[in-house]
Amino acid sequence: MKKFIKTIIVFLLLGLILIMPLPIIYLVLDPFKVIKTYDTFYDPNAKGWVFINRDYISTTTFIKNYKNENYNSYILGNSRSRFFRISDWEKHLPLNSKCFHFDANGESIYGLHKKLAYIDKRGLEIKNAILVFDYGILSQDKPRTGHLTIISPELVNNSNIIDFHLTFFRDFLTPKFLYAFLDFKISGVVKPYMKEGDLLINWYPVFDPISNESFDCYEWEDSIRQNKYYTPGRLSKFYSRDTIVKYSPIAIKENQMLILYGIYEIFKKHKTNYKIIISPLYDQVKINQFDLQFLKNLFGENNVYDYSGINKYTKDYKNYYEPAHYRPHVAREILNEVYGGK
Amino acid sequence: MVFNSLNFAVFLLLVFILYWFVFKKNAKTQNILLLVASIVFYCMADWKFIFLLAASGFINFYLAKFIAQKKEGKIRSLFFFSGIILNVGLLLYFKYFNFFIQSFVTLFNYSGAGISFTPFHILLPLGISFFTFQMIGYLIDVNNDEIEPTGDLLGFCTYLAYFPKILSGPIERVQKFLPQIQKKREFDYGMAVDGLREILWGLFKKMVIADNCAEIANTIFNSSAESTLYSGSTLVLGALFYTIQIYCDFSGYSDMACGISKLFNIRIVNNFAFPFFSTNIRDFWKKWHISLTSWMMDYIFTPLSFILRKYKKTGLIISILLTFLLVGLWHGANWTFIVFGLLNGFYFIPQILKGSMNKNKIVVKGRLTTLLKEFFGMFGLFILISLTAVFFRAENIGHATKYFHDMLSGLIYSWGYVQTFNLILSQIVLLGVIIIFFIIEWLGREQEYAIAQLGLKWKRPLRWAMYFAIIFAIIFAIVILGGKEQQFVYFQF
Repeated sequence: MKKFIKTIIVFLLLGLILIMPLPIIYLVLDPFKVIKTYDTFYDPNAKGWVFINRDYISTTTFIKNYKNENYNSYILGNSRSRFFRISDWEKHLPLNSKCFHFDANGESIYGLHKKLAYIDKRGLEIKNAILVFDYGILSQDKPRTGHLTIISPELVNNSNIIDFHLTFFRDFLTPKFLYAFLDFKISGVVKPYMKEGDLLINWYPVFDPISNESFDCYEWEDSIRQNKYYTPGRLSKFYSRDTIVKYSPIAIKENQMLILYGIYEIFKKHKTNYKIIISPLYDQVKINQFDLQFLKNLFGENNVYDYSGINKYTKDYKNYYEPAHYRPHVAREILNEVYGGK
Repeated sequence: MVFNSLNFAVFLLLVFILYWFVFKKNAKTQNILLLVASIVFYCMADWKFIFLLAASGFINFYLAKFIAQKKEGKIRSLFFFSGIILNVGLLLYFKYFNFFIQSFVTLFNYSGAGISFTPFHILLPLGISFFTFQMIGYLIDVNNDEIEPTGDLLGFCTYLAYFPKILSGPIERVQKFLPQIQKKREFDYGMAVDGLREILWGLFKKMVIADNCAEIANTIFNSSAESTLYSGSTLVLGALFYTIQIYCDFSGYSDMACGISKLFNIRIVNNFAFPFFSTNIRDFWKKWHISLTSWMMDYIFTPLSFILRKYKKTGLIISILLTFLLVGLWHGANWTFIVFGLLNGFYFIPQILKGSMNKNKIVVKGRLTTLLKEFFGMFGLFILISLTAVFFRAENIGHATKYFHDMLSGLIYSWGYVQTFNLILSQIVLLGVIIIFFIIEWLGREQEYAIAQLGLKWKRPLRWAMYFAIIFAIIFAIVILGGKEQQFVYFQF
């Protein structure tokens, strides 16, 4: 027995020694910035960055500031919502409005509901809100997985805290990321292969530390103004579209209905002035009419604005940075229309 | 609590320490611990049926004693048949009640009866198919005077509830198990290390191969029920991946069960003996789920073929078809399992007609490489088994027939499932791992399990490097291949 125990202990120790460098590297370097606390998630002096979970950034920024800032107006949605500028929105809001951009990459209505519930539980007001929807958001009724889209533990009472950290550690261990990350750490350069799948980026993601508003697009807008943005490479991504009207499948099923009721209840409780905007996507696929009618029935005919399908915004590729994201001027015009042509 | 969970690792460590350090005094104390641990294990999986398990143990223990006490006559038969009816009745009620009623209702409705039936909410006790078969086998053996009934109630209950085998077998024979636990067990270094090695190999099969094959097979099978999203080649791929999945899932579980038992210096029957290296169906079933097949052969096929012996080959065919009908039905209350069993039974017919049923053929004995003829034999058999696996996996007969229809009518040679580079990459990696796995299995095919002797003559650093490689493969498989933990397939039976 002694020999057995001794052998097992030596084996385990050896195994531990072999496997320990990876957790140590992970804990020390904290590539996804989820272990330690940071004043800024993206170091402005760096030459490249690991893409950080936007949900985590938004939630951390909110928690850090909400007591001092007393936010009362929120823009919620996925990355497409980022182009709804706070400065554009504020023009339509009362003077005492304090806006916060509570977005997440690959947002779901599950995550969106959790965010509103979190704000509600903190005792903050929700006077104004914009929900930027599309089929992707509406159809997602469960928490997403993966390090870029997993929901922040604070939003779900820390119930996923182990899964949250395991997700990051597991994704850190994938050879694709690990190799790219270590290569970047040694060479200091973001190479093309590293950008695949948004593992690492070489453009500096800037966002406001108080309102959480992203300023990524400023550089791109400059480039467009100088006629340098739509290069042949970028243009090739704008595929040709059908002229026939296409509809997305039904997104709102039983679970989604329950979540949407939950969102509606929060708005009702806060007497929120809310607007639901269905994004004008380049694919020109119109939101399913069942989904649209359900949203209108629940949230009110005058609060739901459908910009999906073939329309003046989706016709021109120049309204987009790439097929997934429209530009701020589109969002601005939509806001003007939604809030009565101001 | 499944074998490949952290909870079970803690549980096993605790039982191991108590067994060898606290309860090591004599066989009785060791058995008390094993029984208590088994009850805890069963309750943690599903506490609701622990009393059913206990009742089954007590009733069968005393019934066997009564049978043995009455030498001959009606009373002995009464005890024997009441025991059989009780055990079969339990199984019929919990597992097949709704199925039979529903089937009868459907049959009557064909004649326009218009009967409606709402299935009863009957929960299936975990491991019922395994422990009732053990009890039936025990009563038959006692009734046939092949074994003496045991007077050791503690040992008998330990045999029944023994945690490494209670949930998914093997279907252990009392005469092989009980003698081992009726004497004090001493710690055996070689056996314990062998056990750990077998657990490691079982984990590799389950977590690296089975769980990742399941990812692909589930995607294909689940969507094939309602849509025609996938091409014929993809559906073929789904069937092949599923066949590998169930083999690695169940044989991985069995390896873990055997390995865990070895840590307590108790051997339980080996359930798999490299079935995919068989060239005919008889050989395959001698190596696949051995404890079930040998049970069926001893208690169903042999008596049946004896009764039908005057019908010669026809009698043999009827016996094999009925046996495999029951093999299929044992797996579950669904027509798909019945078709699965019957198909396997039909595969035997050419061998029966040729008269080669009792000829033992050992494939590539002692040689490293196989003959081309033997290789094609193995490959052909694998394809035939994969076809039956479609029925095994399908939700109902309609799903299975649709699967076959789509498999044959769609574009056979097109990539339906593989859509992104990452998916292609993960499938290529998985395919590579499967090939390496089968090479290791081939090299170790004459052993109890593939890595039983692998590296034993190597120097320790090299041998340990191999073990670490397997451990890292298990850890990284979850990460690289994205395989999610799947429930053991045979838990449902």
